[in-house]
Amino acid sequence: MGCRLCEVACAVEHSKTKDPVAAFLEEDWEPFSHTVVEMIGPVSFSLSCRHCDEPYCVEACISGALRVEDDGRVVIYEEVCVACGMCVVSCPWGAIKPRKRDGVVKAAKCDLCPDREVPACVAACPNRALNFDTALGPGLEKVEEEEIIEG
Amino acid sequence: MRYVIAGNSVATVAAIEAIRKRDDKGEIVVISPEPRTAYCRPLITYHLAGQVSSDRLSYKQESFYEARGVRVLYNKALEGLEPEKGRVVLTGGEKLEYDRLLLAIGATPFIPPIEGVKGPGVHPFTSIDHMEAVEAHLKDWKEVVVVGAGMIGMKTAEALHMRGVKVTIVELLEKILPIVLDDASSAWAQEALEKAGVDYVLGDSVVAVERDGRGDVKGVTLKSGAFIPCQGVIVAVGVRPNVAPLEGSGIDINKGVLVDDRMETNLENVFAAGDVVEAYDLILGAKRPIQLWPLAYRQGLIAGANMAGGKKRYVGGFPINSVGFFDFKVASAGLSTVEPGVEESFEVMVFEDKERGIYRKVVVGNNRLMGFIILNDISRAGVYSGLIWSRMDVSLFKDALVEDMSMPEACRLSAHGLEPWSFESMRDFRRMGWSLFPRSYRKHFTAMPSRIEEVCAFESEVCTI
Repeated sequence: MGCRLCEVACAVEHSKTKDPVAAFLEEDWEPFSHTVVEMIGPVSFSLSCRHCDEPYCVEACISGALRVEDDGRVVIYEEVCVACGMCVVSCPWGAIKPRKRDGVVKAAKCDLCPDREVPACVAACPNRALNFDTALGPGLEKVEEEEIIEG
Repeated sequence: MRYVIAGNSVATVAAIEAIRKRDDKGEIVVISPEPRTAYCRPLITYHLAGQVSSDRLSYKQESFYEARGVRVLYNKALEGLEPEKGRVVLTGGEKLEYDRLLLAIGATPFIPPIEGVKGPGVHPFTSIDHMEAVEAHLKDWKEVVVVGAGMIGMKTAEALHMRGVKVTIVELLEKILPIVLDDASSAWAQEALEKAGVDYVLGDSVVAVERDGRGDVKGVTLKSGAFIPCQGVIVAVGVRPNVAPLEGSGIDINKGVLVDDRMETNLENVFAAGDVVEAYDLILGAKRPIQLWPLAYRQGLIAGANMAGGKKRYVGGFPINSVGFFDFKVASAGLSTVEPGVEESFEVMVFEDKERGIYRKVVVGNNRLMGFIILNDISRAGVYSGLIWSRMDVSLFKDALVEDMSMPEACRLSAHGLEPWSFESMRDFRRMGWSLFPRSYRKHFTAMPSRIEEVCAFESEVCTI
């Protein structure tokens, strides 16, 4: 419904203090949401990292800062990132953005909130449009690569 | 089963991962011409500039190879290929037999035949060895000429400038980053160079490297007759696929090693990936070498999968670049150099606002996005790459692509009068796969062969290279 509470929750979760008021008014870090709500008329969709199986961003990363973890999360190791922007240009969803914090620019993307059990955006979604699920249904594993053209 | 992989960079790493996903028993041997594990080649300029420490240069550590049971032969390069006997010749004449071979031997820097170019003080800049050689010279170098204003040239110039060396860039063409930028965005780059205090000469070339009595470089002479004093020269005029070791083996070579969509060469059980290959360009509809990191990874992954019995296909690639130097940041992809009003078959839309630092240009052909250039604020620039991958019909919102607004705003199409429930827009939504939410979103970007063929047919008519 386009309330954009997920953006607020994400920005608060990824702020210095994790306090809503401080995050938007007091902190020297700009409020920054990894998820973006795309809206066209009555259609709205909260777009954040899809954590792809074979991510374009990981392929494009020239410093090895982006990796696919064993549990399927796609994460940025910020201390390795050189802010070249290759992942930003490569992600077909536009889910990676450069973020400036304390004068240093690094790539930033959804990290599925490592400090929380359920990501902040999912917890904040009032009509359960966002769900968090790590398990894949049976059968999904098998669709692997039967002659499917890949980029 | 013995997999032999010649070369040890990103394509090799991707291939190892792909092979081990399918075959955990087969023996993997990597032939590494350099005495180190795979490293982040593009980061050598960052290291020279002092932004990245040497331990960060490594892309994969020793443990990566150990964990996957990979044997690496360091300091061995591929010297020859004997496909009828199924073996490769290594440095020192040693022979190694293979069941599956991957050629990921990369490219070598091209050194133009300039007078006096051979000798000390003239360096290419594509490997750690080159970087260390330049590093060793730095204390004697006060002035350096960088030949070529491409990616490597510009990043090296920036690094040398940050180390306190006076840099002059000489470029044959009339533009900075000639294969990426158009005239207008090149003007932005030139402005950034002037602000930083870096000299550049465009539309001129070096005809001679002048040396003093001891053989040290004392300057370069340009075609126009000008003389630029310097103690060192960096040659960065591009790289050529490293096909020399493959000559006489019967492998198909044009500019690079020709591969099909399985990354297999004309020889049985011989695959190739990375800078050495000439693979399909999705936008031009023809094979050509594109020497970029992400494509090398992708090709290595597909080659590795097919070597281990998988069925992966390479749909093609297109150049994607993001580079920043001297406060100038550019993101581009595809056919980005097309000038407005020059080619009738393309629609070129530009939005430029100097004061706010916005420059955005898109190239549209047959209602598909073919390329773009974005300067400075590159947030969410990937959406444009997504449009190129997906081959989505952009006719409904193409004016919105370059509107007068910041990047994130521009990506929201809502404000631009697109009727939400019209048949057209919903169809395009489905084409993007947004209403389907499959497990692998990636497949939905490229799993539409009919549209790709249709676009390719169009391209072969208008894009004659």
